[in-house]
This record gives sequence, C-alpha cells and structure tokens, in this order.
Amino acid sequence: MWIVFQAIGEPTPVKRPIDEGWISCIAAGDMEALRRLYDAVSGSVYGFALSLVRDPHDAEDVVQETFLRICRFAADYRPQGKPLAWIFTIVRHLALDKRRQQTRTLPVEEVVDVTEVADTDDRLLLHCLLNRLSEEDRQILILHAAVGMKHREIAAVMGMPLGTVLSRYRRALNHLKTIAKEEGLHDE
Amino acid sequence: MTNKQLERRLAQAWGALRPKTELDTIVGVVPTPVASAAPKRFPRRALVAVLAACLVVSLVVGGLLSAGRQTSAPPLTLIDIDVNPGIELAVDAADRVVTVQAVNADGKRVLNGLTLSDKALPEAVTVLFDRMVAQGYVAGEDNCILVTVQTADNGEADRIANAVSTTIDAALAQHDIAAPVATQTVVDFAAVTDFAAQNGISKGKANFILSLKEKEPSLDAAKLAQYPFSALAAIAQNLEVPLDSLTDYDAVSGLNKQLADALKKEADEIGAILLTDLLTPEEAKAKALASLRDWEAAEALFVKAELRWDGGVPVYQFELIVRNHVYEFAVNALDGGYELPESQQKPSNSTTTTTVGKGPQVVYSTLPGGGTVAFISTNKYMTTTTADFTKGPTAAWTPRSTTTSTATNVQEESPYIDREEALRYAMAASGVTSYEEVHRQKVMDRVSKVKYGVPYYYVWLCVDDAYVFEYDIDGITGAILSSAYRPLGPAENTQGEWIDHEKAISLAIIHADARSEMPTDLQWNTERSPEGAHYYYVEFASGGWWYAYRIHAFSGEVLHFETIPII
Repeated sequence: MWIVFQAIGEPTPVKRPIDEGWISCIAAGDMEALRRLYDAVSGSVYGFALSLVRDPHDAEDVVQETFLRICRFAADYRPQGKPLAWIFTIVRHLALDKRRQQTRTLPVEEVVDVTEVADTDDRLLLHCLLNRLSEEDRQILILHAAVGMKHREIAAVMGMPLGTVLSRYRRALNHLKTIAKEEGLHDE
Repeated sequence: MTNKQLERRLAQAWGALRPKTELDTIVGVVPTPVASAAPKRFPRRALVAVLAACLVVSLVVGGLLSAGRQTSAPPLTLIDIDVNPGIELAVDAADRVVTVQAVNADGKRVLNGLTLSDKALPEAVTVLFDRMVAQGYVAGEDNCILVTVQTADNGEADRIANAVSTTIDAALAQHDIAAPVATQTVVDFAAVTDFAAQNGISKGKANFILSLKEKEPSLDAAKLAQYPFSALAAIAQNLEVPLDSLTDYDAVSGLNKQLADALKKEADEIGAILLTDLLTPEEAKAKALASLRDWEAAEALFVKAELRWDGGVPVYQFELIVRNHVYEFAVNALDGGYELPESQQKPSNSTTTTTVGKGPQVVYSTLPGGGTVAFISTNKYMTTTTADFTKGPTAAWTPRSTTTSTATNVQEESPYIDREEALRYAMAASGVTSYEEVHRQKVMDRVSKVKYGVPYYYVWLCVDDAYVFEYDIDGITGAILSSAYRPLGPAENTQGEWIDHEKAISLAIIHADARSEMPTDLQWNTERSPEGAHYYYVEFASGGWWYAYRIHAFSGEVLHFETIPII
C-alpha cells in the first residue's frame, strides 16, 4: 500500500494582469487601453494559438485577428469579471478556424519548436507541453497554469463540465511532470 | 518537483513567448468598418448602411459659440466631418484649426496620435482623410461624406463648405478614390442633443427621429431610438412621410437623390406592412435567449446582431456563442417568431457542417478522407464530441441516420439502454448463455462519458472463474465497440469481489472528510494495471477543493489522493 499526500496549500498565485475596464475603454477608442491589453495578453494569446495551429505564422495571424475582433466587439462585451474567458474564447475559435483551413492545404506540423525562448529548461518544458500532451489536456494546462484563467472560466471556454476540467488538469499536470523529468528537466 | 513548483515554472516559461507582430501593425488595420465590408455580400443593403452612417448628422457645439460670445473672442466656425468616423473641427476666422475632437469611437481612432491644432484647415482635412483611407474607413464610391458647417454668416458657411469639399475630393484623388461629398448647414440642435444623450444615440439619428415624430406625433420616439436607421427609414416610408422632408441636405454631388432612392428601395421591399410595432433589438434578443436553456442563456455572448429584410419581412439576425457552439438565430421583427436555432460545432478534422438542436443527439458525418465522425450531445451538458471511426472498431459500428430529440422527450425518456441490457449484450458476445456461467460481473455505467464518439457501458465478465471478458458497449444501440479476452489475472483472482462504485465513492468522501458539504461534480472511472489489478478513480469537488482518489477495486484501500484548489 502506498499513500502520497499531495497536499497543496494555498492556490498557486496566478497572473491576472488585465483590468476588465480596459475593454470598455477600447470600445470607446482608447488606444492606450488597447496597448495595455496587448502588452498583458499578447504573449499568452500567441502561445495558446501556437499550441492549436502549430505554425508560428498562423499563430501570428490569429493574434492579429484576435485583437481586431477585440476592437470590433469590445462594445458588446458584458462585464462579468471574465475578460480572459472572453478573449480566449475568441482566440480558440479563430485558431480552430485557422486549423481547419490548414487541413485543406498542408499537413499540420507535428512538432512545434519555441526557439525564441532562451532558457534551456524553459524551452524544454514548453516543448513537452506543446508536443507531448493531448490537445485538450494541453489547452486546459495552458489556460490555467500559464494564462491564469480560473477553472470555471476554462470550463466555459472549452465547453466542458467543471469536474472534467479539474480532473484533466490534475492528470495533465502529473503527465507533464513525468514527461519533463524523462526529458531531463532539472528540478528547482 | 511539486505540482505547485511545476505550475510556477510553467508560468515563467510561458512568459517568454511573444508574438513578432507589433500592435502598431494591427492598429494600422483597426477597424475594418462594417459598413464598407458589407457591400460584397449585400451591395444594396450595404449602401443603405453606409448612407445611414452618413446621415449621422454631425452637430455643432453651441457651447463653443456661446462661450466665444461671452468672452468676446472672434466667433469660431464649426465643421463636422462625418464618414463614420465623426470628427468635429473648430476653425478661426483665418481658417486655422483651434480645436478638434472626435464625436464617436471611430473618430477617436482616427485622431489618435494626430496633432491638428493650429494647422490650416485644408492641411488638417487632408491629414484626416489620409488617415481614414489608411485605416480603411474610406474605400470607394460606396462611402459618402457629410460635411456640416455652422457659422453665423451663411455666405461664409457656403465658402467653407465648398473649400472643405474640394479639399476632400483632392485628398481622396491622391488615393484614386472618388466618394460623394454632401454639405449641409444646421441651426439649433439643443433638443436633438438632449434627445441623443438621453437615448444614447447619435445626434444625426436623433434629428431624424425627432423630425419623424414631428410629422407623426403618435410615434414613440424613445422606442424609435432603439431601431437601426434602416428601420426608421422604412417606418417613415410606411407612414408615407417623404424622406426628403426629414432631411435637410444641400447636396453638391447629387447625394440627396442617391440617398432618397436607396432608402425608398429599402422601404418598398416591405410593402404595406405596418412597422410601428417592430420588436426592438433587445426584445428580439430576449426571444432568442428564451429558446435556450437557462445556463446557455446565461453564458450566451452575442457577436452579431443586425436587422435585415428577408422577402420583405424585417428579421433580426443574431449570432451568439455558448461555450463551443455558435448559434445563428433569425427572429421575425414583426411577430417575434423564430426558427429553431442552429449551432455549428467546428471540429478540427471534418468539413461537414452538423446541425445540433436541443437535447441528446448523435449526428454522424463522413470525413473527407473516409471514416465517420459522431457528434454527441448529452442531455446533461450538451457536450459535442468528435471521434474518428477509422480508429475505432468499425466492424461493430452501424451508422445510423441523424437522431433528433426535442426538449420535451429529453426530460421524459432516456435514449440509453439500461445496465441489464448492456450485460446481456456482453454475455451474448462472449458466448455465455446463462447467468450461472458468469461467476463475477461488473457493468460500469458510463453513458455520461463518450468513447469512440458514443456514450457507452464497460462490462467486465469473469467466466468459469478462469477467463475475463471486457467489453465497451454502445450505450444507445448495444453494439460492441471493443472487446478483450484474457485469462483471469492473479491480482483479480486473489482479491475477492469488487467493491461497488458507490462504496468506492463513499470511501473517498469519508477519507476527504467531505461529508459535511455535499460533494459536487462527482465522477468515477476504473482502470486496470498491467498486472490485472483494478482501481477506481473517484473525483469530486467539495469546499472549494477538487479531490482525486485512486482506490483499490477489491480491497477499497485508498492508494493515492490529490487535492487542487478550485479557483
């Protein structure tokens, strides 16, 4: 018999860098608010898009189209304390559309590299994340651990029950830990 | 490395990702104006939309003039340029720009970063139109430009209007664009300004509504304010109020006739239908939301809402997103009638569009490269799932036609076979003819889960105390989805009877001490180790935490557990 106590005390502090008020400012044409939003989330938007479309150029296209959509539909945004859910719903739909276009033309890349990441361990971890997990596990892990979305928001974006999100998140995290260790990721 | 350390490390690594695209590159194309994008699909309607935008009559800020009078400063001439964007310039007697301000969000985007104060009027106008062309607001003849001038001297107003119009023509010619420019003069907009502010609409639309109300006092002006301009024009036409009498154009390029003709065509489409009681957009949205389930309505995000004319009938067309579904509604603006919503799931590996209505459904589509995709909508979550049947046991799979369910029969009858039926199908497949031959059996109810694209049962049979058969059985048809056969493993043979899954769940709840707060989102599963040992995985939420347990299927021992804070 073996019992592992995996007690995790307080929730991991996640980055929630965006102010919901920026979106209403964007609706009013405030370019500074758009810039702040871009600075805050464009990296995550790019990474999440890359994880889905698996091509850096297509991911860049998704980033651009996402911010165009944000500008266009900012006035329709209803503040509910879920700006990230709104934004990443847009990203997900655009990325899935883009990928559908890809399948009509060229085969989708099997392996995604993040050569722009300088730190070796960071690059290795992202490589494992982007290439070794199933797509849904990858999305859930990215949206919570990297983007900082709440589990409930992810459930809404992914169209999954909350329990499924939590269950898959837990398993994905364990899976990533195992894979990264196999690949030689150094412990802290 | 703990989970927490891994999460922190992942967030740190993620922070190194950045797109190469600069915001300024994106801003260069923000936004693509709806009015100029539409003509490709609906040229005539788009023209009306553009013209409607142009009818957003720019207003003169009387305060500036009165302020000028109070301080004895030279009177300013106020020039509103409306393309949608709307921009207002105040110029002095030497035609130099004193102030410039946007009158709407698009105007703010145009002015962002521009300094026009103290520039000569022609230079400022040229800069503005260069920017509007670059940002896509002015693209061709479908655009029209309205220039409104207010000054105390009518002769001076004409001079400035002509000068601005000429400058605009020249500026656009540099981009090989020819767009009609109309000018008008206005007098007192105090009432218009108040009405626009009260109803949150443009002053041009306010002016039109108040003029219409003046002709037909029975109209409810506040309600009219909620309609799009095309509906207002149609209402005017329907009430036989000449459109020319509602506008005060001093057109320099025949725009007035163009506008009137376009609006008349639009109004002619709806014939003699009385339009004064059109649903407002908000009322139509409520109709659309009413057809959804409560949770869907609560999560619905409207991404498109517009009024169109369908065979002469005004129809609100909505597009809204609920989770991973896109719904398209068409709501009759006259009687609120609507068709059942269509939702489109966008599977990554299929080009087939699938209709999914309300309730549990299984919809099959053929993949371009062969194989079948099943779209499953369960009555609990309306989760649609895709599966490629080229990877599944196709021999046992019998494609069916689309099944549909209404909201009523979702609640009244289950589409699934029961556990006993699943067991019988498994026994038949294993060649067992009587219950006596089955020494142990277990039917795992997984009809809320999906495998090979369908809800299914997992059946484990121990026959003659020597062999184990395992089956995944279609929860709807009873078809065998997968099967396995092997000798009874030592771990199974020596550890007695399985505990029931309810027992496993209760063990987990007791271990978590979660009895005081009712666990939610409960789910369970089984897995088998390579040695043949079976485990229950039990997961649930309680007290803001997510609990995950692995419990031995025979002994009931808690082998492993994890907790995750739910945020």
